[in-house]
Amino acid sequence: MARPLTLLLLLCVLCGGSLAFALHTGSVTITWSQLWSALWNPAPGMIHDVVLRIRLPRVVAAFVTGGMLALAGALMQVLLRNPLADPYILGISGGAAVGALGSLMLGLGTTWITGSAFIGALVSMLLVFGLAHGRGGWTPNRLLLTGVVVAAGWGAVIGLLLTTGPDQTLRGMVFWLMGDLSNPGRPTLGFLVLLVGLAIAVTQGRALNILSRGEMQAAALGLSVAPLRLTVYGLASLLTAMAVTLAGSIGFVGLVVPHMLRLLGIRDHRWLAPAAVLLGGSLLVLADTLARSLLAPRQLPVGVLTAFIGVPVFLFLLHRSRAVHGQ
Amino acid sequence: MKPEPKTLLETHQLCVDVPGKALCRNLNISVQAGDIWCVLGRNGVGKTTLLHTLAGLREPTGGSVCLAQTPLSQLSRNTIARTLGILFQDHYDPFPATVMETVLIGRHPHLGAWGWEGPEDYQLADTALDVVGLNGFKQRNVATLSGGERRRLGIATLLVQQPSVYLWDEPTNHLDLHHQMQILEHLRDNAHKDGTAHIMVIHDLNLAVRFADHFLLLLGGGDYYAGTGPEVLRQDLLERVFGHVLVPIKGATGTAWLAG
Repeated sequence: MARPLTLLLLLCVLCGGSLAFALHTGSVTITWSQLWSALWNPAPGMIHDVVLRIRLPRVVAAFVTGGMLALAGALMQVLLRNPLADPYILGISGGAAVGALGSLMLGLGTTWITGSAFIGALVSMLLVFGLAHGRGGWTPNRLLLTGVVVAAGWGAVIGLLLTTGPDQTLRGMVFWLMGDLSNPGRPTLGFLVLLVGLAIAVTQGRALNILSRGEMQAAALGLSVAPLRLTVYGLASLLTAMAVTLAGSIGFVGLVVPHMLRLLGIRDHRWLAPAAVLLGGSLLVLADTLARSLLAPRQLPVGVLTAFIGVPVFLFLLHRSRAVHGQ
Repeated sequence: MKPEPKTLLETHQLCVDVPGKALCRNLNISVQAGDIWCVLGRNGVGKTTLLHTLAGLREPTGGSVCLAQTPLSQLSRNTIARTLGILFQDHYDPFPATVMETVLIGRHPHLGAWGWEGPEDYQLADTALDVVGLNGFKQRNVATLSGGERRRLGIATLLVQQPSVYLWDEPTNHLDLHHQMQILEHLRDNAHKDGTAHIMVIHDLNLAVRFADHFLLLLGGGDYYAGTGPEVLRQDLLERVFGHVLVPIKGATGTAWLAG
């Protein structure tokens, strides 16, 4: 137990560091002491506005989105018992994208884009659930195949929208698809969903450990599989829908963060869930800060940066674990 | 030395079907504390499906299974898991885990909803890993185990679950001779000392004859014979069960059966 606890504390430090770095970095130069006083002794002024009105909402949105994606990824991997599963595998982001791109094409405002993305995600979630349920069983493979096929369907619609859409909206559409935190909605609701989701994942952690060994095994060990499966599906889908609505579809975080933690030795879901939220959140905060500052004033899509940071770190961990454990 | 007779598991007119095929018709057996039952039959005759039905993981077509006089359908999954455990034919490990983490999942039904494994759970896990000869492997990744080692880990996981009724689906699969004997001897001791009951599917007739005291012969089409060794281990019956000629050989440890 000592090792997961140490890692969790280290992740808390990483999280605090990434938040401070993100609040400190930007086109307006702010010293650390100015940042400190802006946060704790708010006095009206330019620095106060930059830190609290511009940077803080974006940093919080990035953290909440990253945390939701990493937690949703860990849950999807258990639900589908597939290490390749990520939050988008069942087509939730596809549904959201079709909703958002439709609104972008029609030139509607941010509220419409956010709302239609969330509705698209919910439609996709219910569609996949209904179709996979069908007549008879609801096996992980059936759910996976249904989700992948529905996602492919959404992909085709997205292609159609991109190729037929007016030129002036194209850039916005591409940015939305690659993930964009420059116009974050209010992250308050997302933050609440993340907290509730984390609480459920931690309290059900031991059950998730067992569910990942197969449904028959889980039932034989006394788990009521059907309600748990439904909870995990609903929770992972809701987290994904909220994340996609906040920031578009940011790849990589949901797939790789749970695996990074498993490679570091956190395999028990009672530890993995909070660790995933912290690491996913920190990774996205760092990626978003670099995305807005590397080529400032130009902004890079944050999904590009998550992959740029995540790919080498993940490959390093994989390489190291092979050398240590001889796997 | 057998413990006091006490019925742990009973079936009443149990019928098990798969679509288009009857596996078991009106099965009535009564499993007492200390009994070791062995289910014998050809591939596909329904041994595994019957075990899953006895474990309550599958609805019977008719009849009922009772655990200590209460029908399984009236018990929660968690209550069942504290009294009855099953070793499956296969193990799935899609994510990395150590041997210790894996064996501890057997404690799940005994821990409260918010509970964590305590020192006594680790103690039980240690003992179980000793029994199956895996104590030097606690921190090993499950994915690096050999087939026989993984099987022994599955057996240890069921041992720490500490049910009173154990269902074993081919427990000796992949095991070398030494571990087959060691583990089956442990189960027999466990049955006689602690008054547990064991129902196992084993394909090795001689191992079955050596360790079991009751037999359930599945003949296909729903027909069965159930009883003690002297009642049902008849050459004509066994040849019908296996669809092969058998030659009995009297030896010091009892009758051995050779394929003719």
